[in-house]
Amino acid sequence: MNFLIRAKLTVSNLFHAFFHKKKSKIGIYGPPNAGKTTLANRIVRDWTGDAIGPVSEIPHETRRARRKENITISGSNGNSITIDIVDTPGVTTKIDYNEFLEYGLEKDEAVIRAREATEGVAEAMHWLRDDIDGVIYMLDSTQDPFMQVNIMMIGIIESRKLPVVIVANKIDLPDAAPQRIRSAFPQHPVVPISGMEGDNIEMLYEKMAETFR
Amino acid sequence: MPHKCTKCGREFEDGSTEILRGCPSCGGKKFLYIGESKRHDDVLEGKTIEELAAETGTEEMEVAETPSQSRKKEEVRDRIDCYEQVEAIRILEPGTYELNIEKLARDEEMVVGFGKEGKYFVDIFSMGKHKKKQ
Repeated sequence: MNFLIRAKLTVSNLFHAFFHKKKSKIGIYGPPNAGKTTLANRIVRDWTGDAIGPVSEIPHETRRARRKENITISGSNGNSITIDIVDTPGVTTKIDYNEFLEYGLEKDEAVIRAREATEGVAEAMHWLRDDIDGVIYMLDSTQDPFMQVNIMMIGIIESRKLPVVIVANKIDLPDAAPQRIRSAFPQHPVVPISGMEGDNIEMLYEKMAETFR
Repeated sequence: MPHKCTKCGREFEDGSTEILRGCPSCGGKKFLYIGESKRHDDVLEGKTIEELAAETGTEEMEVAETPSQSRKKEEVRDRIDCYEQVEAIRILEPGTYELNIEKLARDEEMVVGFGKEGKYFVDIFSMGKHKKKQ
Protein backbone atom coordinates (compact mmCIF):
# COMPACT_ATOMS: atom_id res chain seq x y z
CA MET A 1 0.00 0.00 0.00
CA ASN A 2 2.79 2.32 1.06
CA PHE A 3 4.56 1.58 -2.17
CA LEU A 4 1.49 2.49 -4.17
CA ILE A 5 1.09 5.83 -2.42
CA ARG A 6 4.76 6.63 -2.93
CA ALA A 7 4.56 5.72 -6.62
CA LYS A 8 1.52 7.90 -7.01
CA LEU A 9 3.30 10.83 -5.35
CA THR A 10 6.36 10.44 -7.60
CA VAL A 11 4.17 10.41 -10.70
CA SER A 12 2.29 13.49 -9.54
CA ASN A 13 5.58 15.29 -8.78
CA LEU A 14 6.90 14.48 -12.21
CA PHE A 15 3.66 15.62 -13.74
CA HIS A 16 3.80 18.84 -11.77
CA ALA A 17 7.45 19.50 -12.63
CA PHE A 18 6.79 18.85 -16.29
CA PHE A 19 3.90 21.27 -16.52
CA HIS A 20 5.47 23.84 -14.27
CA LYS A 21 8.42 24.13 -16.60
CA LYS A 22 6.12 24.99 -19.47
CA LYS A 23 6.76 28.57 -20.40
CA SER A 24 3.79 30.92 -20.53
CA LYS A 25 3.14 33.21 -23.44
CA ILE A 26 1.83 36.48 -22.09
CA GLY A 27 0.06 38.72 -24.59
CA ILE A 28 -0.17 42.46 -24.12
CA TYR A 29 -3.59 43.41 -25.47
CA GLY A 30 -5.59 46.61 -25.48
CA PRO A 31 -6.96 49.36 -27.71
CA PRO A 32 -4.60 51.30 -30.04
CA ASN A 33 -2.33 53.89 -28.41
CA ALA A 34 -2.73 52.50 -24.90
CA GLY A 35 1.06 52.11 -24.61
CA LYS A 36 1.44 48.39 -25.23
CA THR A 37 4.73 48.60 -27.11
CA THR A 38 6.13 51.13 -24.63
CA LEU A 39 5.41 48.66 -21.83
CA ALA A 40 6.70 45.68 -23.82
CA ASN A 41 9.92 47.59 -24.51
CA ARG A 42 10.27 48.46 -20.83
CA ILE A 43 9.71 44.88 -19.67
CA VAL A 44 12.15 43.51 -22.25
CA ARG A 45 14.74 46.22 -21.49
CA ASP A 46 14.44 45.82 -17.71
CA TRP A 47 14.96 42.06 -17.81
CA THR A 48 17.08 41.43 -20.91
CA GLY A 49 18.50 44.82 -21.93
CA ASP A 50 16.88 44.53 -25.36
CA ALA A 51 13.87 46.14 -27.11
CA ILE A 52 10.84 44.77 -28.95
CA GLY A 53 9.66 47.42 -31.43
CA PRO A 54 9.25 51.09 -32.35
CA VAL A 55 6.57 53.31 -30.77
CA SER A 56 4.71 56.25 -32.28
CA GLU A 57 1.82 58.54 -31.53
CA ILE A 58 0.06 57.48 -34.75
CA PRO A 59 -2.35 54.66 -33.90
CA HIS A 60 -1.56 51.15 -35.20
CA GLU A 61 2.21 51.56 -35.21
CA THR A 62 2.39 47.88 -34.25
CA ARG A 63 0.75 45.93 -37.04
CA ARG A 64 2.30 42.53 -36.51
CA ALA A 65 2.42 40.65 -33.22
CA ARG A 66 6.01 40.71 -31.96
CA ARG A 67 7.39 38.18 -29.56
CA LYS A 68 10.35 38.21 -27.20
CA GLU A 69 11.19 34.88 -25.64
CA ASN A 70 12.56 33.75 -22.31
CA ILE A 71 12.11 36.74 -20.07
CA THR A 72 12.52 35.91 -16.41
CA ILE A 73 10.73 38.23 -14.05
CA SER A 74 11.24 38.03 -10.30
CA GLY A 75 9.02 39.38 -7.58
CA SER A 76 10.39 40.53 -4.23
CA ASN A 77 9.16 37.41 -2.39
CA GLY A 78 11.31 35.14 -4.56
CA ASN A 79 8.53 34.33 -7.01
CA SER A 80 10.04 34.08 -10.43
CA ILE A 81 8.45 33.33 -13.79
CA THR A 82 9.88 32.81 -17.25
CA ILE A 83 7.62 34.06 -20.00
CA ASP A 84 7.46 35.02 -23.64
CA ILE A 85 6.10 38.52 -24.11
CA VAL A 86 3.85 39.03 -27.13
CA ASP A 87 3.24 42.64 -28.09
CA THR A 88 0.06 42.76 -30.18
CA PRO A 89 -1.52 45.33 -32.52
CA GLY A 90 -4.21 47.48 -30.89
CA VAL A 91 -7.59 45.78 -31.02
CA THR A 92 -10.43 47.90 -32.33
CA THR A 93 -13.73 47.38 -34.14
CA LYS A 94 -13.18 49.97 -36.85
CA ILE A 95 -10.10 50.97 -38.80
CA ASP A 96 -10.40 53.92 -41.16
CA TYR A 97 -7.49 55.25 -43.19
CA ASN A 98 -8.92 58.79 -42.88
CA GLU A 99 -7.84 58.75 -39.25
CA PHE A 100 -4.19 58.46 -40.32
CA LEU A 101 -4.43 61.37 -42.76
CA GLU A 102 -4.75 63.68 -39.75
CA TYR A 103 -1.25 62.64 -38.75
CA GLY A 104 0.14 63.80 -42.09
CA LEU A 105 0.29 60.45 -43.85
CA GLU A 106 -0.31 60.33 -47.61
CA LYS A 107 -3.51 58.56 -48.72
CA ASP A 108 -1.73 55.54 -50.24
CA GLU A 109 0.36 55.11 -47.15
CA ALA A 110 -2.71 55.47 -44.90
CA VAL A 111 -4.69 52.87 -46.87
CA ILE A 112 -1.80 50.39 -46.61
CA ARG A 113 -1.47 51.13 -42.90
CA ALA A 114 -5.21 50.45 -42.42
CA ARG A 115 -5.00 47.16 -44.30
CA GLU A 116 -1.97 46.02 -42.34
CA ALA A 117 -3.62 47.07 -39.06
CA THR A 118 -6.72 45.02 -39.96
CA GLU A 119 -4.56 41.98 -40.66
CA GLY A 120 -2.78 42.69 -37.39
CA VAL A 121 -6.00 42.63 -35.36
CA ALA A 122 -7.04 39.35 -37.01
CA GLU A 123 -3.61 37.96 -36.16
CA ALA A 124 -3.80 39.18 -32.55
CA MET A 125 -7.20 37.52 -32.13
CA HIS A 126 -5.80 34.34 -33.67
CA TRP A 127 -3.00 34.33 -31.09
CA LEU A 128 -5.54 34.82 -28.33
CA ARG A 129 -7.47 31.82 -29.61
CA ASP A 130 -4.62 29.34 -29.67
CA ASP A 131 -1.36 30.48 -28.23
CA ILE A 132 -1.72 32.87 -25.33
CA ASP A 133 -1.56 31.65 -21.71
CA GLY A 134 -2.11 34.95 -19.92
CA VAL A 135 -3.02 38.53 -20.75
CA ILE A 136 -1.85 41.96 -19.72
CA TYR A 137 -4.80 44.13 -20.74
CA MET A 138 -3.59 47.64 -21.22
CA LEU A 139 -5.76 50.73 -20.93
CA ASP A 140 -5.08 54.43 -21.21
CA SER A 141 -6.33 55.81 -17.89
CA THR A 142 -7.17 59.17 -19.46
CA GLN A 143 -9.80 57.41 -21.64
CA ASP A 144 -13.22 55.97 -20.85
CA PRO A 145 -12.72 52.30 -19.89
CA PHE A 146 -16.35 51.42 -20.77
CA MET A 147 -15.63 51.35 -24.51
CA GLN A 148 -17.38 48.45 -26.23
CA VAL A 149 -14.14 46.91 -27.38
CA ASN A 150 -12.79 46.68 -23.81
CA ILE A 151 -15.94 45.06 -22.47
CA MET A 152 -15.88 42.58 -25.35
CA MET A 153 -12.18 41.79 -25.01
CA ILE A 154 -12.36 41.26 -21.25
CA GLY A 155 -15.40 39.03 -21.88
CA ILE A 156 -13.46 36.99 -24.46
CA ILE A 157 -10.44 36.68 -22.14
CA GLU A 158 -12.70 35.60 -19.26
CA SER A 159 -14.51 33.04 -21.42
CA ARG A 160 -11.13 31.49 -22.23
CA LYS A 161 -10.32 31.44 -18.51
CA LEU A 162 -6.98 33.17 -19.07
CA PRO A 163 -5.32 34.89 -16.12
CA VAL A 164 -5.35 38.64 -16.65
CA VAL A 165 -3.70 41.71 -15.15
CA ILE A 166 -5.25 45.02 -16.15
CA VAL A 167 -2.80 47.88 -16.50
CA ALA A 168 -4.06 51.45 -16.10
CA ASN A 169 -1.35 53.25 -18.08
CA LYS A 170 -0.35 56.91 -18.47
CA ILE A 171 -0.88 57.84 -14.81
CA ASP A 172 1.75 60.57 -15.33
CA LEU A 173 -0.80 62.56 -17.37
CA PRO A 174 -2.87 65.16 -15.49
CA ASP A 175 -6.31 63.82 -16.46
CA ALA A 176 -5.52 60.18 -15.67
CA ALA A 177 -8.24 58.42 -13.65
CA PRO A 178 -7.04 54.87 -12.93
CA GLN A 179 -9.79 54.54 -10.32
CA ARG A 180 -12.34 54.55 -13.14
CA ILE A 181 -10.67 51.47 -14.60
CA ARG A 182 -10.65 49.79 -11.21
CA SER A 183 -14.39 50.31 -10.81
CA ALA A 184 -15.04 49.18 -14.40
CA PHE A 185 -13.31 45.83 -13.88
CA PRO A 186 -13.50 45.06 -10.15
CA GLN A 187 -13.12 41.31 -10.82
CA HIS A 188 -9.49 41.64 -11.98
CA PRO A 189 -6.28 43.05 -10.49
CA VAL A 190 -5.63 46.57 -11.79
CA VAL A 191 -2.13 48.09 -11.61
CA PRO A 192 -1.80 51.83 -12.31
CA ILE A 193 1.52 52.60 -14.02
CA SER A 194 3.32 54.98 -16.32
CA GLY A 195 5.05 52.87 -18.94
CA MET A 196 6.82 55.96 -20.22
CA GLU A 197 8.14 57.19 -16.85
CA GLY A 198 8.38 53.77 -15.23
CA ASP A 199 6.18 54.73 -12.26
CA ASN A 200 4.90 51.77 -10.28
CA ILE A 201 6.47 49.30 -12.68
CA GLU A 202 7.82 47.19 -9.81
CA MET A 203 4.30 46.66 -8.58
CA LEU A 204 3.34 45.38 -12.01
CA TYR A 205 6.21 42.87 -11.98
CA GLU A 206 5.05 41.66 -8.55
CA LYS A 207 1.52 41.22 -9.84
CA MET A 208 2.74 39.45 -12.98
CA ALA A 209 4.90 37.04 -10.98
CA GLU A 210 1.88 36.32 -8.79
CA THR A 211 -0.76 36.00 -11.52
CA PHE A 212 1.12 34.20 -14.30
CA ARG A 213 2.80 31.55 -12.14
CA MET B 1 -52.77 59.18 -8.71
CA PRO B 2 -50.94 57.15 -11.37
CA HIS B 3 -47.59 57.59 -13.17
CA LYS B 4 -47.69 57.91 -16.92
CA CYS B 5 -44.80 57.06 -19.22
CA THR B 6 -44.01 60.21 -21.19
CA LYS B 7 -42.94 58.20 -24.22
CA CYS B 8 -45.79 55.73 -24.76
CA GLY B 9 -48.42 56.85 -22.25
CA ARG B 10 -48.61 53.56 -20.34
CA GLU B 11 -49.92 54.00 -16.82
CA PHE B 12 -48.53 52.65 -13.60
CA GLU B 13 -50.10 52.62 -10.16
CA ASP B 14 -48.95 55.04 -7.54
CA GLY B 15 -45.82 53.71 -5.86
CA SER B 16 -45.23 51.11 -8.55
CA THR B 17 -41.67 49.77 -8.35
CA GLU B 18 -41.90 48.52 -11.92
CA ILE B 19 -41.02 51.93 -13.30
CA LEU B 20 -37.67 52.00 -11.51
CA ARG B 21 -36.26 49.90 -14.34
CA GLY B 22 -37.88 52.03 -17.00
CA CYS B 23 -41.14 51.46 -18.86
CA PRO B 24 -41.49 47.73 -19.71
CA SER B 25 -43.35 48.58 -22.93
CA CYS B 26 -41.08 51.13 -24.55
CA GLY B 27 -38.05 51.41 -22.24
CA GLY B 28 -38.88 55.08 -21.52
CA LYS B 29 -37.17 56.59 -18.51
CA LYS B 30 -39.41 59.60 -17.86
CA PHE B 31 -42.71 59.46 -16.00
CA LEU B 32 -45.30 62.06 -15.16
CA TYR B 33 -47.18 61.89 -11.89
CA ILE B 34 -50.68 62.81 -13.01
CA GLY B 35 -53.92 63.70 -11.18
CA GLU B 36 -57.20 61.81 -11.70
CA SER B 37 -58.87 64.80 -13.39
CA LYS B 38 -56.27 65.02 -16.14
CA ARG B 39 -55.52 61.35 -16.34
CA HIS B 40 -57.18 60.66 -19.68
CA ASP B 41 -56.67 64.06 -21.27
CA ASP B 42 -53.89 62.78 -23.50
CA VAL B 43 -56.34 60.42 -25.20
CA LEU B 44 -59.59 62.36 -24.88
CA GLU B 45 -58.22 65.75 -25.82
CA GLY B 46 -55.23 64.71 -27.86
CA LYS B 47 -52.73 66.50 -25.65
CA THR B 48 -49.12 65.50 -25.46
CA ILE B 49 -47.62 64.48 -22.16
CA GLU B 50 -45.49 67.65 -22.26
CA GLU B 51 -48.62 69.77 -22.51
CA LEU B 52 -50.14 67.90 -19.59
CA ALA B 53 -46.97 68.42 -17.59
CA ALA B 54 -47.08 72.13 -18.34
CA GLU B 55 -50.77 72.33 -17.41
CA THR B 56 -50.53 70.49 -14.15
CA GLY B 57 -47.21 72.06 -13.24
CA THR B 58 -45.88 68.65 -12.26
CA GLU B 59 -42.31 67.86 -13.12
CA GLU B 60 -41.46 64.75 -15.07
CA MET B 61 -39.59 62.23 -13.03
CA GLU B 62 -36.61 60.60 -14.65
CA VAL B 63 -35.41 57.18 -13.63
CA ALA B 64 -31.64 57.10 -13.51
CA GLU B 65 -29.86 54.28 -15.28
CA THR B 66 -27.13 52.59 -13.30
CA PRO B 67 -23.83 52.09 -15.12
CA SER B 68 -24.12 48.31 -14.77
CA GLN B 69 -27.55 48.37 -16.43
CA SER B 70 -26.33 50.35 -19.39
CA ARG B 71 -23.26 48.17 -19.63
CA LYS B 72 -25.36 45.03 -19.69
CA LYS B 73 -27.55 46.52 -22.37
CA GLU B 74 -24.50 47.31 -24.47
CA GLU B 75 -23.21 43.80 -24.02
CA VAL B 76 -26.53 42.31 -25.11
CA ARG B 77 -26.60 44.61 -28.13
CA ASP B 78 -23.06 43.62 -29.04
CA ARG B 79 -23.97 39.97 -28.85
CA ILE B 80 -26.98 40.46 -31.08
CA ASP B 81 -24.86 42.40 -33.57
CA CYS B 82 -22.32 39.64 -33.52
CA TYR B 83 -24.87 36.94 -34.32
CA GLU B 84 -26.50 39.00 -37.00
CA GLN B 85 -23.19 39.46 -38.75
CA VAL B 86 -21.74 36.49 -40.56
CA GLU B 87 -18.50 38.17 -41.49
CA ALA B 88 -15.40 38.58 -39.34
CA ILE B 89 -14.18 41.55 -41.34
CA ARG B 90 -16.21 43.96 -43.45
CA ILE B 91 -14.48 46.10 -46.03
CA LEU B 92 -16.50 49.29 -46.38
CA GLU B 93 -14.07 50.75 -48.90
CA PRO B 94 -10.36 50.28 -49.52
CA GLY B 95 -8.72 51.37 -46.26
CA THR B 96 -11.89 51.33 -44.14
CA TYR B 97 -12.64 48.17 -42.23
CA GLU B 98 -15.07 46.97 -39.59
CA LEU B 99 -13.83 44.14 -37.41
CA ASN B 100 -15.99 41.70 -35.54
CA ILE B 101 -13.56 40.81 -32.78
CA GLU B 102 -15.85 38.27 -31.12
CA LYS B 103 -16.07 36.39 -34.37
CA LEU B 104 -12.32 36.66 -34.91
CA ALA B 105 -11.77 35.29 -31.42
CA ARG B 106 -14.24 32.45 -31.80
CA ASP B 107 -13.96 31.04 -35.30
CA GLU B 108 -11.20 29.80 -37.47
CA GLU B 109 -13.34 30.34 -40.55
CA MET B 110 -12.92 33.62 -42.31
CA VAL B 111 -15.81 35.39 -43.97
CA VAL B 112 -15.15 38.85 -45.35
CA GLY B 113 -17.98 41.21 -46.28
CA PHE B 114 -17.77 43.93 -48.92
CA GLY B 115 -19.61 47.22 -48.97
CA LYS B 116 -22.69 48.01 -46.93
CA GLU B 117 -24.51 44.73 -47.48
CA GLY B 118 -24.94 41.61 -49.48
CA LYS B 119 -21.47 40.80 -50.81
CA TYR B 120 -19.27 38.28 -49.09
CA PHE B 121 -16.00 36.51 -49.60
CA VAL B 122 -15.86 33.07 -48.02
CA ASP B 123 -12.44 31.58 -47.42
CA ILE B 124 -13.24 27.91 -48.06
CA PHE B 125 -9.67 26.90 -47.25
CA SER B 126 -10.04 28.17 -43.68
CA MET B 127 -13.20 26.10 -43.31
CA GLY B 128 -11.60 22.88 -44.50
CA LYS B 129 -8.96 22.94 -41.76
CA HIS B 130 -9.46 20.86 -38.65
CA LYS B 131 -10.47 22.81 -35.60
CA LYS B 132 -8.09 22.73 -32.70
CA LYS B 133 -9.50 21.08 -29.65
CA GLN B 134 -10.02 23.55 -26.81
